[in-house]
Amino acid sequence: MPMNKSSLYKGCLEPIVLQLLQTHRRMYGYEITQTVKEITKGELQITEGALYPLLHRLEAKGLLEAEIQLADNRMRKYYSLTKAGKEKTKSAIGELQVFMQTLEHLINLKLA
Amino acid sequence: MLMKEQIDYLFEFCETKGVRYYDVQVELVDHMANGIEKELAEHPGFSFQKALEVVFASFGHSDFAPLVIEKRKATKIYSRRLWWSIFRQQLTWPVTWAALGVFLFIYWQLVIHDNDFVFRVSLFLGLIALFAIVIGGRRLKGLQKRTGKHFLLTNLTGLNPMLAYGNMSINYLISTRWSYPGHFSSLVYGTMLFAFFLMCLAHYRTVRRLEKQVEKDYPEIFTVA
Repeated sequence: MPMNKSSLYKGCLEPIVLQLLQTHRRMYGYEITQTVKEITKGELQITEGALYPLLHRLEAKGLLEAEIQLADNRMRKYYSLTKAGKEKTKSAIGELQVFMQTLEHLINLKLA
Repeated sequence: MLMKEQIDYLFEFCETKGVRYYDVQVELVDHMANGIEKELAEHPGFSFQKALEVVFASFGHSDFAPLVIEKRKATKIYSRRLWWSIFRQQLTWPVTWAALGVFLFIYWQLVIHDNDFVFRVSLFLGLIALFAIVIGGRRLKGLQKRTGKHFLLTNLTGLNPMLAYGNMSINYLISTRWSYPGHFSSLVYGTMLFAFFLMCLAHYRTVRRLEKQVEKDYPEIFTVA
């Protein structure tokens, strides 16, 4: 039975978005979904229903700041990291790496 | 690139799908417009409507209500954080000294006067709280009237001074219910008054800040109106 990849990635969504914003300086919602799709060659697709609540939550917590600009005939909301957001990115990526190592260790143990 | 009429249609579409707030619509419209442009580029045979159906289906819901619920929660956190940061910013030396003066005056008055005076002071403070809410509410209604739009950002504004006032009065009544107001209850009441003045001021300043943020973020609707 195929495993639902979305549920595997779910807990990693926050560090992924934070890291993307760290790399690209500022991005808008649709751009984030497409960039993730491109980088992962379609393996991971962030749904709108998961992305926007996350972006709004991070903005409310003061980790992201938003700037609204006119682009292509419409208003576009760009997100970028705040100082607190940059610090959070470091810790979130660090935690994710530790988690990945632990997971790898567990899987290798099972295979051995 | 989509035409202005198509963008306007997307705003109407959002409204029919449960999003009445302009600040939420703006982001959804841009997302859908990007998706539609991509669909039309990849499938030249697609109509605008067909592309919209495909893009809307990717949201995975029959309407945008779940997104609005989540956004409402985030906005609540945001406005509370803003209120709290304004409240803390007010704690500068001049404000602190002035508030301390008010506090000492009320404390002294409470100690030397009877319950009638306390009642009059409480009534006066209730009016201040009401004033802060009414003026703040009028400003936000004025914003809606000027633009013809609803904003989720200005829908919630931190801690309600009326609640703070009610809470403070109840606390005072409880503390004095079984005993004559003495130094301790007057001290507690005076401290609450100090916080209360700052709360009302923070409430009003939060409303002003949110109003200015809307003006900065969406200048296009102010120039049209």
